[in-house]
Amino acid sequence: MSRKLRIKAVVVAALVALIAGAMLATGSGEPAAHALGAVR
Amino acid sequence: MSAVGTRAATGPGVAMRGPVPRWADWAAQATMWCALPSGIWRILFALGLPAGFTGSQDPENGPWFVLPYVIALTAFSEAVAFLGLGLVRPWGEVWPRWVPVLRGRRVRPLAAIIPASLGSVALVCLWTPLVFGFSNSDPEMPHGAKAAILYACYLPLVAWGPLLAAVTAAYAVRRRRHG
Repeated sequence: MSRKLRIKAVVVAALVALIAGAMLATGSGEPAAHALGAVR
Repeated sequence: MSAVGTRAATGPGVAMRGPVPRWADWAAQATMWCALPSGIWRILFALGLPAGFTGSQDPENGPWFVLPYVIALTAFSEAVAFLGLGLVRPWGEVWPRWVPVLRGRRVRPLAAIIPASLGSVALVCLWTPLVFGFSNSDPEMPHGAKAAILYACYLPLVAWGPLLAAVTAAYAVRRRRHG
């Protein structure tokens, strides 16, 4: 694998980890919906 | 054009018609990166990671084909973004070997310029409204931090259309000068 391709793969993996981490770290999102009276 | 700030006018086995400006090469590559965060977000969302949708918007309450649909949509958008790279690569000037019938023939400039121009206009119309934020009056849509994540992942799409337009203009100028 070329150096450029390796760097791109690392950046993509980092993006996946960052977005997944952010989605998991911010919980289910249910509290916001509850606050708005949306969840029955 | 001076050779400074340009990409070599050769590719693997195919000579390019004139040098590609360095900025156009970077812009073409940037289009692929613009489409990536939203694609990653969509796939993670379809895989069941909490994206902030609730009630009827929750994918758990959705039909079985959400995951394949989202993967197909992401693959399609990345494929479209990849096509933009052809405007700065030899395969945007001569049909590559793996294309039946057309292989080895010269790509007519308008065959690339017209779809790329229409695509850039469509992308600008589709994504520019994101600059003004998401409309999240629906209580079942993501709010707060979840909305911020969604917004951050989709915001790069705003740049896709203008970048493609610039790369298309560079392609048109280069093909006009060098054939």
